[in-house]
Amino acid sequence: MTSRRSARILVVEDEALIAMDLQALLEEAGYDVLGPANSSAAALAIIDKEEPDVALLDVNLGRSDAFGVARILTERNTQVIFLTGHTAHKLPPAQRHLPLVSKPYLPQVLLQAVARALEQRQASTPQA
Amino acid sequence: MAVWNALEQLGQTLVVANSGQEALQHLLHNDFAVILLDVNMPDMDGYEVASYVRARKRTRHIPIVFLTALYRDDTHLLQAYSAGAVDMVFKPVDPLILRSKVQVFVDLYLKQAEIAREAELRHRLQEENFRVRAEKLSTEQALRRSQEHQEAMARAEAHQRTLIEELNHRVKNMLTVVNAMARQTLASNPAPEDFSDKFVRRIDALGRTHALLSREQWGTVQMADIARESLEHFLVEDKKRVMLEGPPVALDPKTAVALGIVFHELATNAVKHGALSNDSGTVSVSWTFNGDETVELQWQEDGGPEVRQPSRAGFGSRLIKLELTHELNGGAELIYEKSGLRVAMEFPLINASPSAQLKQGIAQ
Repeated sequence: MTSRRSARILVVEDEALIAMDLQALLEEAGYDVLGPANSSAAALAIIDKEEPDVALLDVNLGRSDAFGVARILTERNTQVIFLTGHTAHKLPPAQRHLPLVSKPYLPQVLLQAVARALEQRQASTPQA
Repeated sequence: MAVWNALEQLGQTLVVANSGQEALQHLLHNDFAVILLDVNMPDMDGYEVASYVRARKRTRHIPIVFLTALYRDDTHLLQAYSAGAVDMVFKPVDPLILRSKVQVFVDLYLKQAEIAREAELRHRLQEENFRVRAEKLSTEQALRRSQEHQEAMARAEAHQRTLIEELNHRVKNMLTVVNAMARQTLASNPAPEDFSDKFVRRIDALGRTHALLSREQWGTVQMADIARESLEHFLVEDKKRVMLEGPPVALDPKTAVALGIVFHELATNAVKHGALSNDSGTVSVSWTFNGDETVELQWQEDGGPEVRQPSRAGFGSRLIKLELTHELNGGAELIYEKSGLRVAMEFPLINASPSAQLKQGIAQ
């Protein structure tokens, strides 16, 4: 029997207004939001203590990028979704298979991607 | 005539001169393998001709064989050799002896000519070799220059692609910001007139900051300029009601955009609820710039209606806090003093933003 807790979504986005919007959209849809984190370092500090089900990662984070965080998260079975104005060819080859939501995003497209990622997460997590 | 017959068989060119004068004429224009010179001639004798031949550089090397009938004694022999003779032949001429002697000089001449030709050929080959090597070198240099040119072109094209991608990315990001602004404004202002007014003003404020940054070619802008640009149109009547005070601080574009949003939200609130909602209230905007590169910025309202702490944080105050914490890695505290709202903000200054890189790109 899985717990009835809401799914937890990590948001990593350095633009304040977009971060605020993502948080509001996800909370309205009933998810718990971790973050929003504005940098790789802030994201790493969060996943040091928490285990998100899904992570929504902006690719460009100021002068760094989210690829390192994405690698750690996929190793831990957190479902990663990239959120970017770039096309997939900007992603490292090992991460091109990960789902990508283009900016500017439509709320329903974003929420669909999150729902699909959660299904994947449940399918790949062994039942206790 | 006997001499002619003796030498004809050699198959070489024979030139006959009937006097010393004529012999010297021939020597002016032609080279010879050997000169057979009669000692006893009218006008100019053989010795004199020989001395002219020896004196001239072009003829000095030609061997001279004296033909003589008379003077077989030692004094004449000595005179003949000192005049430059290499040999003597006595008349009457023995054809066989004469022919074999002349044959030796002919062979010598032909060999010398061959050696000279070979030397000339070697010299020409060497020159050709030098020329080819020089040509190869200059071709290599030209090739290198052309490769460098092509590389520079390729770099310029790659640079241009990067710039276009960066611009493309920015436009998409800005559209995302506008979408987020619309959704979040709508969430706190569901009435269409409220939404429309607030949303358009917020986009207008963003536009003003961008225009200011554009004028500065996405370099840095001054804190005073961004404050004035953001607050000016709230103060059409009395500009003295807002005071700006602080040292020059150059802001990178990211910081400037964030502060533009903050000033807009503060001013909107002041006009609606705070010190700028009546005829006499004032706002003081002041800032300091610490040695450790932290900017402290204060917004202080005074003389407006009495202020009370709102029951819950509105969109404006949440946005102000988020711009300071999330965007600028700083902080903001909103203090609702009775005499007026005070907002204490601080943030570190970061100079090398992606926008500064973009500006560099455009400048190149």
